[in-house]
Amino acid sequence: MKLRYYIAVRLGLAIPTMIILLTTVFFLMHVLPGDPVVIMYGDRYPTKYIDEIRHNLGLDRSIWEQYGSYISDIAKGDLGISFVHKVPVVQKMSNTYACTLELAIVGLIVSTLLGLPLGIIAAMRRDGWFDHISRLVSLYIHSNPGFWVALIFQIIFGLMLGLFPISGRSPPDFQLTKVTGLYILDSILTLNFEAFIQSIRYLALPVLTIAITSIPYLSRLSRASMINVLGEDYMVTAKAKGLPQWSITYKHALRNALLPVITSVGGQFTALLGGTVIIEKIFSLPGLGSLLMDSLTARDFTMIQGIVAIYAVIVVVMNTVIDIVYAAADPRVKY
Amino acid sequence: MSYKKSGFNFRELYNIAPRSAKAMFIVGLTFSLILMVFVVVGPYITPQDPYQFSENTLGAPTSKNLMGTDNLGRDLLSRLIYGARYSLGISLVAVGLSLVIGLVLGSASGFFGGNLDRIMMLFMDAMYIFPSFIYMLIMVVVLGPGLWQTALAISIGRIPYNYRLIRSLTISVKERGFIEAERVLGADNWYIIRNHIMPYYMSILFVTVSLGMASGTLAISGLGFLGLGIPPPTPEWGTELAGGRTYLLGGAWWLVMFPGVFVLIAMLGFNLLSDGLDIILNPTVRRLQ
Amino acid sequence: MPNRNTYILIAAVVVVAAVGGGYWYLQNSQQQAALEARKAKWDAWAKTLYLGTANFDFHPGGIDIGTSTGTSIYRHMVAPRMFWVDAEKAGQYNPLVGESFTQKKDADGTVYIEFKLKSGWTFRDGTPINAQNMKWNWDRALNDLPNRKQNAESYAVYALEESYGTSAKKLIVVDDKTLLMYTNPSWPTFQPFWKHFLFGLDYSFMFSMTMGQKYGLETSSLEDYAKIGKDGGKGPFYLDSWVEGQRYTLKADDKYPVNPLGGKAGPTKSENIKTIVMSSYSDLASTRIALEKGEIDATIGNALARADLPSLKNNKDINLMIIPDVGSGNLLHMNYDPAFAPLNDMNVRKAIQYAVDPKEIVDKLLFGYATVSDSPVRPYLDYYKPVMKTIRDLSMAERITKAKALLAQAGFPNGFKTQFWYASGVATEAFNRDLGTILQNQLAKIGIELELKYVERGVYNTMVRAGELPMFTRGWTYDYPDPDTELFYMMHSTSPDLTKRIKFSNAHVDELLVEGRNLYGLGQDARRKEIYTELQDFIVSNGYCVPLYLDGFWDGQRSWVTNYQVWKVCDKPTQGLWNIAKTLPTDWQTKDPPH
Repeated sequence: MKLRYYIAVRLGLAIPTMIILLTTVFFLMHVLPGDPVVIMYGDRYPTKYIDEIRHNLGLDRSIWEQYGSYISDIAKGDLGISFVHKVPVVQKMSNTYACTLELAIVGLIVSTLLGLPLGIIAAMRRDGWFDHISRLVSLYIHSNPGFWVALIFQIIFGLMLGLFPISGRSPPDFQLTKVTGLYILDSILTLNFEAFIQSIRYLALPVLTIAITSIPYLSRLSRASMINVLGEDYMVTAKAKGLPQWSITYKHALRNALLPVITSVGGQFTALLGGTVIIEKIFSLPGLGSLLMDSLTARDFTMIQGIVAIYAVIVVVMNTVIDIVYAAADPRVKY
Repeated sequence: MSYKKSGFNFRELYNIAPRSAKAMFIVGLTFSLILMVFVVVGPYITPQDPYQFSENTLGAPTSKNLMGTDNLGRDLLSRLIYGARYSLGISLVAVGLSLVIGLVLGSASGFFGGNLDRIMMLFMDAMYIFPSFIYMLIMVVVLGPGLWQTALAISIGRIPYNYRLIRSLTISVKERGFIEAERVLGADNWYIIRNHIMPYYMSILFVTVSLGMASGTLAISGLGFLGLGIPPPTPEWGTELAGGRTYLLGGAWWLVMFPGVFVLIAMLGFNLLSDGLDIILNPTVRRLQ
Repeated sequence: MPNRNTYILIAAVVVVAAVGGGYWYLQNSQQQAALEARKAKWDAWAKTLYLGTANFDFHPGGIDIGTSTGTSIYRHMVAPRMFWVDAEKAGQYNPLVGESFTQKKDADGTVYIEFKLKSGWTFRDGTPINAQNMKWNWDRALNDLPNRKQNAESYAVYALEESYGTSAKKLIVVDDKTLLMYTNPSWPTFQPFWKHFLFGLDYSFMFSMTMGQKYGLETSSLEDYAKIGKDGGKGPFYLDSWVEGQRYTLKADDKYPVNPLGGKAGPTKSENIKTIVMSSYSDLASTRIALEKGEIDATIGNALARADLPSLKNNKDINLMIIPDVGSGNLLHMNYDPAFAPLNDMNVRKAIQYAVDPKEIVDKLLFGYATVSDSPVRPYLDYYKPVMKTIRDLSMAERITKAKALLAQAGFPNGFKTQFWYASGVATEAFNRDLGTILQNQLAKIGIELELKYVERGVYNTMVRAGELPMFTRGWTYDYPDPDTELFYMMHSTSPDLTKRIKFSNAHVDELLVEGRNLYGLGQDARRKEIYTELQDFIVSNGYCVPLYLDGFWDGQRSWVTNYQVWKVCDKPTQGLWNIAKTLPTDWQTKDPPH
């Protein structure tokens, strides 16, 4: 199969995948008990208004009608109006997605920068003291539940040592012109030093927590991959050719070792996305995870579906791109 | 018609395993067994009644209350031991359920192939790439609080993984060609799957179960922490942790510390167990150890 | 003659003295300057009030009836009202931009209220504050709300409709200073009621009609709403800047007049505080930490976790401002429907009244920061009678014996099973669960097995409204200073709130309640006292419900904040920021202010 054909197939698969996800969530939502209108408008609201609002929101139509209009709206890019916030879902999400994205990206970068080298060094000093110790420590760290680690960090670094703030994304007197919504990036782009420092301070504990949960897995992966590569025949060839050690390690081994790891980094990213729900709750970050939790409680159907749609898009795009890149880069992959 | 089933001889494998793997296996098994004991006989071995109020609310750890008391004066240690049956027990049910479903679907998919396989793969792939915690979250809210509901929600999160695993295992065994002989002799498909395919990868399933327990317990505590899943007032570990947060700034650190420790021990136990088992049961894997 | 060396020595001494002296003088004046600079910093700090609240959705809301604390403060400080409740005399409304309100009857016997406005008041954008403006504001608040996508306050609609929405004549502008409001024909002429709904709740604030028509549309942006606040208001403060989700700044309007009735009668020119900075923190823990560090001078809107109160009490730098008995009152209700037998048996209900001990709830769940209530009526209202005291003054052992005897009398000497329901998926879930657990414990002592059941909020609301729950708790906030506020809504058969939920209906009780209302303000205190005493006695004689506790409001302030006048009006205990002054801490010379 030629690469172009593979790309087309992968891209073609992306759409049905997203539709499957969205449809599943849609029907799940409508099986949810609890009338969202009653939830929103609560106790003392006169009943006659409840019916009117329910009609305005289109919630009195049949489920197939609702599904039909849902899919056609999505195709147009219209994610609807949030029941609770009374603004278009897209608008509400545009204020919140940046927080989650920044958290996930920075978390991933930090984990990768710390985790991969650890694994590679362990592989190169295989069975040495570094290897054994790092594996044990890795397993121990991996066994810590993320939400607990987050609380412990809050206690130690936030309360006891006072190094970092325990929650929030920015201090109340934060000044930053919004370019992308990612605070660190924006503060660099606008040369705002104060904002840069503050963004990092506030992001420190959440990212630390994410790193703790991801590094063990990534280091293990890179270690296994590196060992695999180091045992390959071409490594012996390289050595026989008299190439210098650093060239062998960095140019040959590393490049080949990292390729399989990249696909897993993609998987890590999606796992991180799942984990952001708890992290955002603990650190009171105004991101998609918190929004999802609140929307679930409030039965804000459109918002829930919108958030799931965004996650689906991110996840599908990421996987497709990684698969294509990997297939193009590694000639051994059969497609 | 009888040929030697390729089962595995655990004793043999264990003896030739490296020391580190043995150590991990033993430690992991110990932790897991202790916790399983809690699950089964927890209510009978708690030092105090986990539901008993006392006047000593938010009391620090003492010799009487080894892990302190909560806001209603209940002994935390007792509550956490009692909670094992929820955090772990539900996980066990979920793992079992997802394993069975994964076995059925994966075997069918791998064995029969064709359009059935393609459609299921598409569906399972879609579920697989999506962050599983998120749809566990949604399922738990949709199904409502309850023991069975939580178990179902957690198992759904695990099914795609199990499915893929079983499917690829089934395919790899199928390709080895033993099956054709049985077919010719007129054996029914599911008989073949049960008796001639599954035994080949049985050992891997132990590891899968153990890993599943780890991730299941983590998921349940995570959901409990968010206030979902297991119905209160049961002292599930994650719920206790979340409840303890309220009193943290007031000084009651034990309410946050100890529930986490329990989850940590459970996770350590299952992770060590699965790592050790993995190495022991798969000598070929030792190359990468 | 002194030799040359002596001269050199003298010269050296002089030089050293001069240099030393000069140095010493410079040091001193530098210190002096530094001290003065520091004093200037502290003075500026003393003129700025830093407030903190924990509010996730910190959006101005503008001229819509929004709900968050942040915007509530903004409207109180920025927008004018016709009348303002007095800080100390409950139920008394002092003139602000309105001059008077009189209840009258017209030729057909329809009741209306005549409002008279003062002259000379204008909004900051120069448009006059007059009757047309008030009418516009009230009309918009009522008529647009149900259809307006940004409405979030359902109670507003209910309240305004109840007040005047369905009367045909509604609002009539007579002239610039006179406005007539025709009340809903079914609305009682019961003054405390309509005073509360018109002035007490946040529905009578005014924004300039010109600005509102220009900016107060569904397509308005954040900046538009901020502009309305800045130019379209008239208060002791005006809006200076707004960052959504984070903070806003109010600046004092030096041209705002001093209130002739004083700062406790309503807004007045702010003499000490010239800037208010209101910051939003991500959660209650952060607000507490900010307060402890001095980053904020006070929290507002109950922005401290109750569980933190005991430890904060010990902090000598922080004053906890705790106002008891003005918060929500929690009661345990039992359903009269025969489907939930034997709860409909009077003796069973009385037995439960004996067995339940709210003190344990207050001690364990509320850290002592609530008061056990001995009647649904609040202790500071007229005709209050602590009817539950006869039960609660007995020892617990005696109460249990009595309760068991009552159960036996009802035919259940060995108790029975029933259920306590609460809503899940809400912030109060953990609390209600613990409360249910305590009730379980207490009722078990008389043989009643209480099963705790919960459903998620939407289902709970539907079920409780339909009267399908056997036992549940319900909170109630008092609206106006008269026992009618609790009792009418709890016990009158037409009350949509409670009576349907517990399937209660009693013609005699109905009569009493209506009579009590009709007699208001007619000097019939003796008879009203009889009525409300009989109604409260009914609670015990019929086992109507179990009053549990009355909650309060609380906020924390740094010890340097003075004169924080508290309004003991339900829902609004934190007004009066114009009265505040800040004192410098005693060690101000040694350090810089927190900002």
